[in-house]
Parts: sequence; structure tokens; C-alpha cells
Amino acid sequence: MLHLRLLTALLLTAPAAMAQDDLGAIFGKDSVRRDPVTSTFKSTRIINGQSNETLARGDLDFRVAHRFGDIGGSGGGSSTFFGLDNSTDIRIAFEYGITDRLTAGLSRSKGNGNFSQMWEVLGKFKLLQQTHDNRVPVGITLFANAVVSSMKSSPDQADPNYFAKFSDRGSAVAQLVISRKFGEMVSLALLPSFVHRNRVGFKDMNNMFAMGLGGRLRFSKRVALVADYFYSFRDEESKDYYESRGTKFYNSLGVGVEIETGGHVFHLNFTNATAILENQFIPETVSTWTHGQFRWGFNISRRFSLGGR
Amino acid sequence: MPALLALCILAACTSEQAPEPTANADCSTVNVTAARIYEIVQQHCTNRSCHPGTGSPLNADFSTPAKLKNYISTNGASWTFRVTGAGADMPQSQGYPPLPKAVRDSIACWVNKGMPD
Repeated sequence: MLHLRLLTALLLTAPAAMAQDDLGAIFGKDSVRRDPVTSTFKSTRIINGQSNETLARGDLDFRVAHRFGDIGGSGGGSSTFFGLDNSTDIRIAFEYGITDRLTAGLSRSKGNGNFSQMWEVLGKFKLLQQTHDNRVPVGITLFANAVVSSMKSSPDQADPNYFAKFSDRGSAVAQLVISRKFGEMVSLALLPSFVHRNRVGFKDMNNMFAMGLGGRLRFSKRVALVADYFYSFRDEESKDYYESRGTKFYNSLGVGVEIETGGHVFHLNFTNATAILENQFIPETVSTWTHGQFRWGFNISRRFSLGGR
Repeated sequence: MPALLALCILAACTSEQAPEPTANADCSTVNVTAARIYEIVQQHCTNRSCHPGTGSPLNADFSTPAKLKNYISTNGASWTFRVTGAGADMPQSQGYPPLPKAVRDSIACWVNKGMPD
């Protein structure tokens, strides 16, 4: 009762900003206004890139991602049923929410690029969560992975997939996902990324920075348009060398529709990237939308609650 | 977990770069026949249920030597890019070991000479 009287008095007399602080003092850190913003994205991935989302504690996420062949160009068209006869990459993953902020996972991908047969261990941690009161205006999530290829070594030392030692098979990604949800309709994410590959081809780059931009535009309660784009900072010397040998690198662009169907989040998407892992699609994408080299892909996510809540 | 991962990655972190690929073989001394090239294509392509006409991709049908030649004639740039070029991704993009460089060079010479029988 005393709280009610105090609350009424505050609401009637104090400015709004003061009221906010006093409510915070009364109700402690659980004040509604300081609640973290949720569902910035509906899934842990936007399309190719990570979203800021992590799994809830005790949730196991079984994920299957698939990228078909080129829809158009010399590898597509009606003879391949617009790429559906081929698969450029397939990833099967188990990811688990250790806490509400920390996710760990294991995956196996077919791989597409210099390496194939990719085994990944990943971790994702929510460093900051956007709050409704804008005290924390953005969410920041850290993503990192380490990947090893189990493919057979090339016999030619000049090939990037010639493995003299085990560490030649490795690569890793570190990425920040800086996200903000604007109202109920629009979410954006900026993804500064760093890719390290232990062994690369001649004049390729062991270390590469990239900047990703992702977004989600919600049409209804269950359907949203999603897109992401990664700009890779490949140096001019490397670009010139590979272009002189007939290989041109492109930035990855993915657009798609996200459909929430109860326990599933279904992604129907199109992208020029042939690979699924950041370790490959950031530095090694050689297909482009303008030549019809984009493909249908999907990410299916099925979550199982294993308790812990 | 990310910190632990970062530590593991740093511990296993190396930076190796492959040596420069040697120049392509001198094609004037290479004598490769269509029959030999087709053996290579059968071993690395059609016998794995790819490119045979019964599997996919149907537009890259290598089920006979004539169809192989026809494909290369009409898709030379794609063939060079994906099979014999520096960034060739066939057949490793399908999870198989890449063609040795000597084999790629021999195929390139055969194509450059006009795919002789």
C-alpha cells in the first residue's frame, strides 16, 4: 500500500525521467523499462551470417542448412532443374544453450571452396543486450569458431589443400554482431568479422577482415524478409593475381524469407555464396548474382528443450 | 566458451602460404590423346555418378567422348575455370580429392591443341 501511494505521488509530481529512475529504485533491476529487447532476429543466423541471438538455457538446436546449385548461368537452367539437382554445401549442426547468453555447438559441413569435409566447433556469447529504455542502445554478441578439414591432402604443394601438417587443415573466425531492433518491424545488424586460415594458396590472404550488414523486415507475426551482405577486404595484390589467372572473388549477398512455424524457423533464401561457413564464404566466394550464379538455400532449425529451466 | 575457443585457435594458429604454382607444362612436348583424357574423366567424373547423363548436372554430360568435347567446345571458359585453372574446384567441391596439377596441365594442353583424338 505504501508503495502504491508512493508510486501515485511520484507519477503525479515528478518529471518522466525522474519517475523512471525512482521506479527503478523501487523495483530494482527488474524494472520493466530496463527489460532486454527480445527477438531482434528469429533465428541464430540471418542467412549466411550470424544474428545476435543465442539459445535459451537448456535448448538444443538441431540445424540443417543446404545450398543448391546455380539457378542460372552455365551450371544452372532447366537441365539441372535450376540448381536443384546439385548441392554446393550442406551443414548439419547441434547447438546448445549452456546459459541464456552462451551457446556452444558442433557441426559438419560438406564445404565448398579450397577445403571440404569441414568439422566446426563454435561458441557464441551475448556481451550486451539492447534494452527497451535505450540505456543499452545496441546488442553485442561475440561469435567464434574453429574449423578443421578432414579431406584428403592434395599431392601438389602449390595447392592450398596440400597438408604437410595437421594445423594446415585449420581455420577460424571471430565476429562481433552489433544489433539493434527498431520497433517491432525492423532489425539491423553490423558484423565486423575476422577470418584466419592457416594455409592458403599463393598470394591468398591468411588473415582477412570483412564487414557484414544484415537486416530483418517483419511483415506479419510469422513472416519476415531477411538479408545480409559481407564485404571482404581482400588486398589489391591478391585480387590482381587471381584475376590474372581467371579467378574473381565476389562479396556474398543473401536475401530470403523467414517463416516461423511453431517449433521450426524455416528460411527460404537465395544467395551467391556456395559455402555455408564464414571461414569459406567470406574469403572464397567466386560466384556472382550477375552471372546467374545464385542458388536456393534453406536453413531448418528444430529446437528441443532439454530442461535446465 | 568463446575465450576458450580463442585460446585454442591462437595455440593452433599458423600462417602458411602455398608456393607459386609452376608454369604450365610445355604443351609442345605433351602428347595426350582423347582416349587418355576420357579415361581420366571417367575415373574422376562419370564413375562417381556425376556428369554421366543419368545423374547431374545434365548440361555437363560427359557420358561419351563426343559429348565431353562438345561441352568443352561450348563451355571453354567454364571448363578452364573449374577444371584446369588455378582456382579449379572440380572435383573437390563434390568432396573428392583434387586433380593433380600434372593431370590438369595435360588436360589443358589437350584442349589447347584442339582436343586431338
